[in-house]
Amino acid sequence: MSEIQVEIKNLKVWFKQKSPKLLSFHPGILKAVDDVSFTIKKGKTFGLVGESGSGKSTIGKAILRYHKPTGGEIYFNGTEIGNKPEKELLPFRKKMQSVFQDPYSSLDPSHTVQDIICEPMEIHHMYQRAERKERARELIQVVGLKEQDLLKYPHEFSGGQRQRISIARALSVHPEFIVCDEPISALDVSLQAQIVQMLQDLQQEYGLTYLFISHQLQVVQKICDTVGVLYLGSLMEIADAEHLYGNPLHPYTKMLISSIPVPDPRVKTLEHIVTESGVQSREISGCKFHNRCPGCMQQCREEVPALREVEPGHFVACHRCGA
Amino acid sequence: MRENIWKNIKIGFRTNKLAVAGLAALILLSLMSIFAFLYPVDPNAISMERLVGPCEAHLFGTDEMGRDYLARCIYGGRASLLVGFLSMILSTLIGVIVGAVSGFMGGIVDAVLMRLVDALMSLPTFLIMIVMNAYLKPGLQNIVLIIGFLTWMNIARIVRGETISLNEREYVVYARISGQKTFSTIVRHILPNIMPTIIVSATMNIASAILMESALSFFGLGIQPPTASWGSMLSNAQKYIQQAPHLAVFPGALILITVISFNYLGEVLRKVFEPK
Amino acid sequence: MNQDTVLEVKNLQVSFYTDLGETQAVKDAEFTLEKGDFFGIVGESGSGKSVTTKTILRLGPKNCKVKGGEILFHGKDILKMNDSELRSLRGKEIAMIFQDSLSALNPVYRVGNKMVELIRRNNGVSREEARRQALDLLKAVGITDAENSLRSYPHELSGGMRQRVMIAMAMSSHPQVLIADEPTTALDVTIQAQILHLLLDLQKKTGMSIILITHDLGVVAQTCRKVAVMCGGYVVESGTVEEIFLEPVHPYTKALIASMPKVGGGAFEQFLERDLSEHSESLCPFLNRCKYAQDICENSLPPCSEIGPGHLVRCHLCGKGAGDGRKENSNE
Repeated sequence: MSEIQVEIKNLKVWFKQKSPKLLSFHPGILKAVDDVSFTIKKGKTFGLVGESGSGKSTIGKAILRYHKPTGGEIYFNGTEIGNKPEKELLPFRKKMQSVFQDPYSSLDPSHTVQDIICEPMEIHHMYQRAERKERARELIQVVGLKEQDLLKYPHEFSGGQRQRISIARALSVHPEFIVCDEPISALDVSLQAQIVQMLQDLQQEYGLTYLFISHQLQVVQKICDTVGVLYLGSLMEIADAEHLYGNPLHPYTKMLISSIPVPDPRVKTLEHIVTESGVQSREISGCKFHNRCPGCMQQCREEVPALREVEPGHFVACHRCGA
Repeated sequence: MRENIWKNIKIGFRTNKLAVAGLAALILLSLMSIFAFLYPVDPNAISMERLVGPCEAHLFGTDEMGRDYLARCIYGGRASLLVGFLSMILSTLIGVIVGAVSGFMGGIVDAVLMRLVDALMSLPTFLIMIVMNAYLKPGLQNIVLIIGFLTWMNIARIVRGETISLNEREYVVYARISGQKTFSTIVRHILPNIMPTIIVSATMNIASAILMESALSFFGLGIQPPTASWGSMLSNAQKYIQQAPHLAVFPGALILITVISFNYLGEVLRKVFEPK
Repeated sequence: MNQDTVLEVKNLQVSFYTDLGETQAVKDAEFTLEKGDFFGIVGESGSGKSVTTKTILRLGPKNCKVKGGEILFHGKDILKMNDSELRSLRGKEIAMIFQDSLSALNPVYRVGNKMVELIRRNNGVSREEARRQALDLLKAVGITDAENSLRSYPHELSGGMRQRVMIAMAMSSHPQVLIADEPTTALDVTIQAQILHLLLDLQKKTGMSIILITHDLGVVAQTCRKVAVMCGGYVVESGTVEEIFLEPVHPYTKALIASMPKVGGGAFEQFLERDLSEHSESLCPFLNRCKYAQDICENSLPPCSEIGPGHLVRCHLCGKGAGDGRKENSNE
């Protein structure tokens, strides 16, 4: 049993929302993340998959303490950080880094690559100025760019190269844990493989732990050891990557997998698609997926299913599974 | 981005000939006011040749006290441009600070500051100026203070909007989750990226400050005689508009040229800095 | 000319002019669309796929200029049409749907207003009749609550619903050609599957031709019958979907297919990348990433050759076994 890097218990992140009704003074509440628990083991990659609105990015940002959790706990190396005040977070922030989706807005256009890579080290008062530059030189080569690129500005690079710079920046402070929030979604397929390969190599080399967030199951399956499937802020299923694809149990996971267009004209996946009448809605009772679920029962409408372990390491939140 | 800016500015000027003319006019006017002492005529020296039209001895003619009008225009430009420039700096400074803090902090700070802006904006600026002038001694320093304090709200609003949109940028999110202090984030990531907007609105502000000074002087509330300013010269000219129209034409034209030039300049800068 | 040919794009060249000079977005695009075709155009960003199709309706921005080539719609060159001919073409004979359905719909009009107006303009019917037709159209694109949807503003509908509305509006004039520019890129994968299913269904029912532009090979494989692969402004390979996916010839097509992440498949393959010392504007667009590049590739632009009926490839090495030794080999 390897050590646990990050553990999340009953995490809730709720946002105040402007009321859709004019002249109403009661702010609505958006339950972006509602009671989510999972653990990430050291040196492993945990994947979070979900469609838009599933709260996958919010979970990532809550662990990084961009959002303050509304409820629940976040443990990093055994220390609770979800409710710590900002002042005490700095040593933890050094150990957690992030790589974001949009290669165009993740780097400040007014700074040189060198400044960008050095900044996290400055924030954490690591090294002297000259050593920081030396480290930037090392890192830029680690991510496969050239030393002379350090003095360029972000706009001079392509999307893939920018993601490399983001990765170099994240590595600069020797993190243990990196949140990769859709790091390859904005890239062309030809570049995706390169970035994924690099992330995997770096994980091997530095023993990094990843939280890999994506809306593409195909991608997550390649990279992750364990995968959690999110739907409207709740976990539907957690399983080992291979297990999840080989034996999906939750109807939502099944639906996701069957919706992926297979790049092979001999396999026709679209023929089985049924147009559903339900749309995703947070306002429904019971299981959040029941209005889109082909096997919906009376119980599903009334009772929220708990996440239960139906097989070793395979958790499902569905009344129909393993009961 | 930075080295490109110069290139873009060049292209901007190449495609907008009026802006080139504006820039030339502004440079000329600034040089004239900086090196005003090189023109060997005292702008306040009285002579008997009153209300003479433009002639060889007095290129711009003379005013009702026989003062050389060219000299007065040059020194008047000095006052007007100085007022414009200084009050631009003051209002930009206040506007940027209020806007950036408001946009970045959000919440209550934002609400309070923005209501203050709303309140100030809904007051009739000109009336306030006249009232304030009644309590403060008219003079360059006070005029700059008054104009500066009453014109920063627009900049604050623009800067706040920009800051809010930058807040969503992932590099600002990243700065926050890597533990950067709020002040450093504003200085390092917000300000450099809203600089274009600031520069543009600052140029526009110079123009409006010059106009405001002229208007104040026109009502006799601006820079006090015998010191010349374009506005006060214009206001003086109205008494003699029949006998000596040149008194109104020269300062009027100079104000017009300056303001239009700044506006064209701002136009080019706006195009250059517009996000692509 | 074939009787069934609807649209023919020949040797199309499009350039953008900016203050910084000329950028050639499309260098040589060529394809033929027949009646009832489901035609896919695949390519990465910057390959010119979107510009090509926008040019078909002459919808390019002001600084974009067609430098050469022809676009024949039933034998008539669209590039030479005057404004009134164009107007009757756009939205009537050839309709288009876009990736971003929110910005494509005017936010201040209810969906119904817009649809009724459109139907009246195209079909010249009364308001009541137009409304009835709008309801039918919405039902045809799988919107169950059509009455309510007509009364909604665009932002009140979900992304998938909006795309359905867009399709319904495009279908209102019974177009011969529907151009779908990345229609599902912004949608969730479950919704994407439904929209693609709908497009397939409509195509079968109406017999119109569809041009689908996408970067997702999976989408192409599941829907299209013919495919053109674009790279750097050129169509580098085109043929039937089976030819492209099962027997790809151009190294770019091969690499693209190999790099797709597949469920349950092996590790995805990486592209090669090398620096080219000299500028290679007039050479093969894939040269700097091609595993099989040879001397000839660095000297001249490969011509387009037909290696099978309707299977076109732009590669010096094609037909001679581009690296896989399919036929007699020419590379070591």
